[in-house]
Amino acid sequence: MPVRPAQHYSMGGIRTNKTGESQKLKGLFSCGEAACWDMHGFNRLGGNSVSEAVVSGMIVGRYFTDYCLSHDTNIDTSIIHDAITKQADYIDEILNRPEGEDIFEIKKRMQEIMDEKVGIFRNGDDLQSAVDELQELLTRSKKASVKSKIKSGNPELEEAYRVPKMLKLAICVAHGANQRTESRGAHYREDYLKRDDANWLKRTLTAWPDENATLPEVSYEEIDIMTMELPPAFRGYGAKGMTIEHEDSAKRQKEVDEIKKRLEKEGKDRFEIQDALMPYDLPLNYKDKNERIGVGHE
Amino acid sequence: MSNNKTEGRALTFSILKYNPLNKDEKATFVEYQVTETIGMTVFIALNIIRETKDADLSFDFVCRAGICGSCGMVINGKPLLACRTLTADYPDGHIQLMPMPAFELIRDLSVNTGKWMDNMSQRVESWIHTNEEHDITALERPVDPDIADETFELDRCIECGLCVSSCATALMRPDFVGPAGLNRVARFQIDPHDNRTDADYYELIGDDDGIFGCMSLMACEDHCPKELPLQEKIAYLRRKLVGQR
Ligand code: SF4
Ligand code: FES
Repeated sequence: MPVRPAQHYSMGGIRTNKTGESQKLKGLFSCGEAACWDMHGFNRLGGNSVSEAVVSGMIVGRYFTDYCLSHDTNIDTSIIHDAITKQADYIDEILNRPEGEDIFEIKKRMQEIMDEKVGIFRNGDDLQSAVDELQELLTRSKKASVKSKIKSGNPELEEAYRVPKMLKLAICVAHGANQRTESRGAHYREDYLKRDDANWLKRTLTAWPDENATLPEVSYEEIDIMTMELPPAFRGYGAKGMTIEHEDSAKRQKEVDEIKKRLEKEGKDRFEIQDALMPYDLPLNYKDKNERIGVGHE
Repeated sequence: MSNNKTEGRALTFSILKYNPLNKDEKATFVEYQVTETIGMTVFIALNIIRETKDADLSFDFVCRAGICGSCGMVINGKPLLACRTLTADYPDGHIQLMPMPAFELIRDLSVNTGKWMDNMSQRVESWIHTNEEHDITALERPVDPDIADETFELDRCIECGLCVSSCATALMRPDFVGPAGLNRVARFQIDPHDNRTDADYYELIGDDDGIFGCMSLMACEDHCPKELPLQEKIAYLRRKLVGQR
């Protein structure tokens, strides 16, 4: 059996707020690997997906239930009808293309590009050429024709429908990686070896306001160190001195140390200290002191 | 056994093609030639066929690693997972593929195991039955590690359906709960979290469509890719539930 590295986790997803609800579309909840919910950072090791699924399933699941119970909605059936018609028309359009591109070839090329140029070791030249070629593939994929014209159980039709969407995701990944001129977590740039907290401590957000565009709109969401309990620092991974520090890191660390010292002196327990450093809330009684984290067994 | 010496052979796949939605169509075997590569599985060969020879060929897979249970099919007469079957294991290079019986045929090699498993899960009420309210802040009641192991052992079922398609009773009785269903009951019967009694299980499966339908041919255990102890569990359940008659 050939053994080789491969992608096993996607570190991006639908941007949500802390309840798991989309920041853009009201009532759309996502969790686990489908979401960008901030439970983990910019890297994933084996097992992260399980903890993410379990923890977010429990918390987001509860917020979602609450949302459903407290929101009555009336959906105009014509909206549903229009959305379905649009997709049905699109499928007909694919079926009616008399001849055109081979969707399997396009998909294969996408896989090669992502593997060779957007894989483990990245650099600007390769990423740029990946973005360019992926855009060409996206344009070509919309001219794919299928040999069998039946609508059910037609694997080539499924690919013709889905591969353009896969390409859009691939472009988001490659384009975002190309813009990010640093190395961080699983994103490793041969031409920018350091983690650059001063300029890049932010989340990449992509959107396609124009569905026919071949590049997404990219924006960034800053991450505020001054609200952190554990400001960015060297944590023992890799070589030392590979980080361009953000000025807030040391500032916040000092603040955290002071708050901790003061509260400890006042005899506050770890829960009160946690609350002073980074307050948060959770649904139901999830925040109550829990035997699993040693309460009652200290 | 498998080695890489067979690389480069010309393989002949003979695949049953049929679309039940197309009333005029007859089921036919179609032949495809594929050149064998190192470590080739039937799943890889099927993808090559679909990508280069017949874009229209329907078959299912997700994980290609024997975990998701979606690629079951009948390979030279035996129900097997396509992603775990090496072409090198077929010395004469002829491989015949048919969809698994006992399930609704979607098309060609695709069958609806999901629907069957769903019905089975509802039928055996495949969830923990308990009235106990657990306080999230308290530790759970400990479970004997051996009993937990035994429960998880049976929980390894990937719902591939190979056992069902190799079971003569399942073929004769469409309502038979099947080896996978009996395994599921055994799983909850062991689990101390579930409060159901033997009388409750008897209500669910105490008839010829349940535990008493099994003729002990045991083809299920021969074909289970997870090597679940189906024979032992079915025998155990039958002994337990016969006392409820
Ligand atoms: S018991 Fe074995 S053969 Fe049957 S569905 Fe489960 S894993 Fe597949
Ligand atoms: S593809 Fe998942 S078990 Fe074969």
